[in-house]
Amino acid sequence: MITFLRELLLSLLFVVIIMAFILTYKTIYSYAKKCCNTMKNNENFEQSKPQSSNFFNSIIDQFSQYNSDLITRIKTINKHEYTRNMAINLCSIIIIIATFSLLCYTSNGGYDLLVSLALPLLIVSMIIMAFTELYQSDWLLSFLAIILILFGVALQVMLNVSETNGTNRSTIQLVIFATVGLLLAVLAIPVFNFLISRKTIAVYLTIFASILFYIILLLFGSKSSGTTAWITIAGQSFQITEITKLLGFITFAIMFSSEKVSPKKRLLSATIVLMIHAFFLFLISELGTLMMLIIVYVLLGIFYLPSLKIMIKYITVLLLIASIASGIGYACYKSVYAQPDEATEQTSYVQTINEDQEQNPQEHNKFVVKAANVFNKLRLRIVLVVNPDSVDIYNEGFQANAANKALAMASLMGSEYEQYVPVIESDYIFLFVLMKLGVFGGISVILIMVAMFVLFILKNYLKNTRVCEGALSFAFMSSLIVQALLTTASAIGCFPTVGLPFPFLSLGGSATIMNYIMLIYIIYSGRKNATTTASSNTHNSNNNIGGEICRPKISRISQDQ
Amino acid sequence: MQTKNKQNISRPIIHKKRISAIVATVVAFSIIVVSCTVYKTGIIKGLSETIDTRSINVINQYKENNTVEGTFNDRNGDPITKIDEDGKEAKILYSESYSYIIGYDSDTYGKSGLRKKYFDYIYDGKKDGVGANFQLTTDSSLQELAYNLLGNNEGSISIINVKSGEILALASRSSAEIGFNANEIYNNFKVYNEIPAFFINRATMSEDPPGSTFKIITAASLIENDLEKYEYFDEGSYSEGGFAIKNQNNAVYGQTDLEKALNHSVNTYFASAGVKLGAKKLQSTAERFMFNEEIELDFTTLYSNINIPKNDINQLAQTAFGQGSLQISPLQITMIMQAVLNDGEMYKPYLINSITDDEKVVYKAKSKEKLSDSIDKKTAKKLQELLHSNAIHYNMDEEYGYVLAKTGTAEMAKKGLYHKYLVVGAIINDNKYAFCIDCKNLTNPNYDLKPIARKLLKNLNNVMLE
Repeated sequence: MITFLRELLLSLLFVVIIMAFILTYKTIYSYAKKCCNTMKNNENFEQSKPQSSNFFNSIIDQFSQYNSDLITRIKTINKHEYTRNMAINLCSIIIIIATFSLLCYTSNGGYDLLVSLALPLLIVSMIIMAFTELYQSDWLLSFLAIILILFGVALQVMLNVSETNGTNRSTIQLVIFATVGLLLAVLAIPVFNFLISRKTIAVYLTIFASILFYIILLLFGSKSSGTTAWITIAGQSFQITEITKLLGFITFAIMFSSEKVSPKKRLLSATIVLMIHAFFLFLISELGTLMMLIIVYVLLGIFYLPSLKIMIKYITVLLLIASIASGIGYACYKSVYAQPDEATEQTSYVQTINEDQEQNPQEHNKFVVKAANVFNKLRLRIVLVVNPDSVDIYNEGFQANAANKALAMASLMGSEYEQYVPVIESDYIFLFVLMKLGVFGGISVILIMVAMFVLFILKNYLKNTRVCEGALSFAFMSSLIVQALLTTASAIGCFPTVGLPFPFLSLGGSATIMNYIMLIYIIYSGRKNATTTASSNTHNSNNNIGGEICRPKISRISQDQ
Repeated sequence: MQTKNKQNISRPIIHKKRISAIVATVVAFSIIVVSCTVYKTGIIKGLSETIDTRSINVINQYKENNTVEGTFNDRNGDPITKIDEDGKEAKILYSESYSYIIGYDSDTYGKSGLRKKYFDYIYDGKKDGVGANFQLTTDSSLQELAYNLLGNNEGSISIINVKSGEILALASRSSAEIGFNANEIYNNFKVYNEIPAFFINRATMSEDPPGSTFKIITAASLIENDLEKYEYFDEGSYSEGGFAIKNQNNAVYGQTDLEKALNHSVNTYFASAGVKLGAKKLQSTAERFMFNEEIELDFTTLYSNINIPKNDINQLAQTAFGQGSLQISPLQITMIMQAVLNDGEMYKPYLINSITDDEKVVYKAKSKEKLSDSIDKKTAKKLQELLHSNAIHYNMDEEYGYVLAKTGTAEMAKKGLYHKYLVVGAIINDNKYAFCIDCKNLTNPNYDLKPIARKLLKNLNNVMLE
């Protein structure tokens, strides 16, 4: 009862914070608008530089256009229809929350916790639906995302009350991150629009920012789970690589969708950017983010390059580089790691690092040790998939062994047993789904993700007349689906562990915020006006919302070359 | 301005085939992931034996790690097992007498007895962390007495409540040198394992010729077939078809009727009577005593064998007095006596009275579950008279109640070793009991089991029956 009241009070406090945030945003916006008008007046008076060349003016312009678009939509929307739809959404979301509460109740408890979180969850969900309805984006896509979000919270609630897998983190934290993510996502849209409208600046800016973040990580990053992807501020850890990943997506989307630039140049520049990311990610041993960047790079290349031949050439070169890098890694690994004796080699693939060598780095170059560590990490992950029995289950294989046990306990509709699995709340959340809701629940989760992807392609991407915006939203959506599928595959032991969270289900701070930013942008990119106004010949202010000029819808459809 | 913009921008291209290919790849990958999930969780049994086995092992291990073994109590509610001080493992209080029944549970050596058979109940894996509680039908003092009466002999004593089928005691010993103590499995496993068939419960799993105890069935068959007045002149040997059957100690009994034949266990009489009866009738009677049937009990399965080849007089004659290819467990011999004492109705013996979990009865034994109408009431009454006469002959007179008895001696495969039986039925204060004592690998064919039986008879009255 005390826990219930505590969480309820926190939820109410949380609602107050949202209100305060909206009011603050309104005040800042009014102030910025005032400043902008003053600056514009001065510029007109001076008649010096053109308006668009002013960097800050351009950002404020985007905010201004975004706000005016929002206000126009609010004014012009069919209020009756909007209210009706929102009422339906409200009822549906309440039913979903009630269903998940029931699920918690029938599972291992925690329904009271979920009910106490119902209010903020309802607000978060309704903000997403309100946004969707306002932009007349695809309703089903948003609704599926909300199901996933609520499912994620329900899972974390169940985890919180689970004795075996219980995390000490309060689920309210998850909701706070969700809301922060949501609010940041709404604010991020004009920033993205600005970046799309100023492609050259955006590319340099994102690359520069990424490098800056990587350097910060190298200097101040804290090591966790073998990577230096985290930074701790005031006791709270932030995964900075989530930001660099997002920046990487933006860079790739802009580069690949710049049709004015020749395909060779586009690919070359994107590859250079990828190599920069790869270099830094190698230094901080964050292979999951690198994998996501490579996948998105390949997918965007396939989607946006006129011919695949050049893409195949580049991929071949990249594979060659990867092979050489593996060879170097293997050599470093051999020189750094202790040679196993014959008996050990027969029974275990896992070799332990020679303590003397680790303690005397002067014997090896730092780069050699780093390469050896990265190679060993990768090798171990592959061995855990190929031959898990060969790994010491009390050390390196502990997690995989625990995951296998959890898999074995799963049944069609959930398991009555509990199994402790390290990081089950994030990387291995799919196993928790299998444990609590069975294979049925697991399949449902995958189906939701796939349905979201297909809906996005059919109802959003194919209808979007803005090339760069389409590329960016595609990068985001493909990142979400690929992340979900890879996390699932690695959780069930069919793919090496990638160390990525399952979008919207896993417990996470930075990842949750980034997922919301991506989701909101995906919804935003599917807005009706982006297509309807584009087909009209008259210029509409909405045409420029999104930073780029819409192309006629008809011109987007052509046959594959 | 707008027109100019349009003209400057080249036609954006949508590679529909590529998009379709990517979508198809995502869908295909999802299908693979779903298939792998289904396969790896093993929800469809039989897809992979390895995964099925792993699932069972993992769940069993989980249950064991998260559950304290449920307790075993005897029929009076007295504990047979007790959780040790650290609250993890249960120890058998009557370590040797109950070890074959309860069995051992070891991560290294596996499981046996009830701990193996009822693993899912004992370690139910429920959140209370305590497994189900078992109430057995045994009486611990009687069980302990029976085990002690066996001494250092290899053999068993099984005692049944005739009216219900409850097993009151089931003592077993497999070695003259060392008794089985399940509490010491980790220390003694290697020693136990070196002794042939050490882990076999002699009362239920030892399948040997029943010796002269089978004469009860031959006698029943004679009575059924109106041959109860059949007489035979014994000259010390029975010869038919080129073989000779002799009595124990080469005794000669002269004119012998059924009662005398039973009293003195005259092999020649039963050999000739068997031949007179014929294989079909004898086998038919034996099969009504559940020979050749797999008797599924709540803790084990009993097997027996009778196979008299057609026109093989030698086999027929040998079978009739309890040798030949006959095989039976001591518990089933007790069941034969139970049927005789119960006017021909054979009940299924049972060891577990009830299983309780969270104060709910999850299993309740079926009392008086009839296995067979072995013989009719009239035949049973006649047999009771004959076997009571036997008991008097064995000096088990009215002092012990109304007692029926039959001894038996079977020659073992290894020459010079004998397997002795004594099967007893008793009506004491309206309660009916049947028990069988057997001792194996005896060098003395005249080893007397009757003192053991007398001690048991004196103590049976102490057992509280409903």
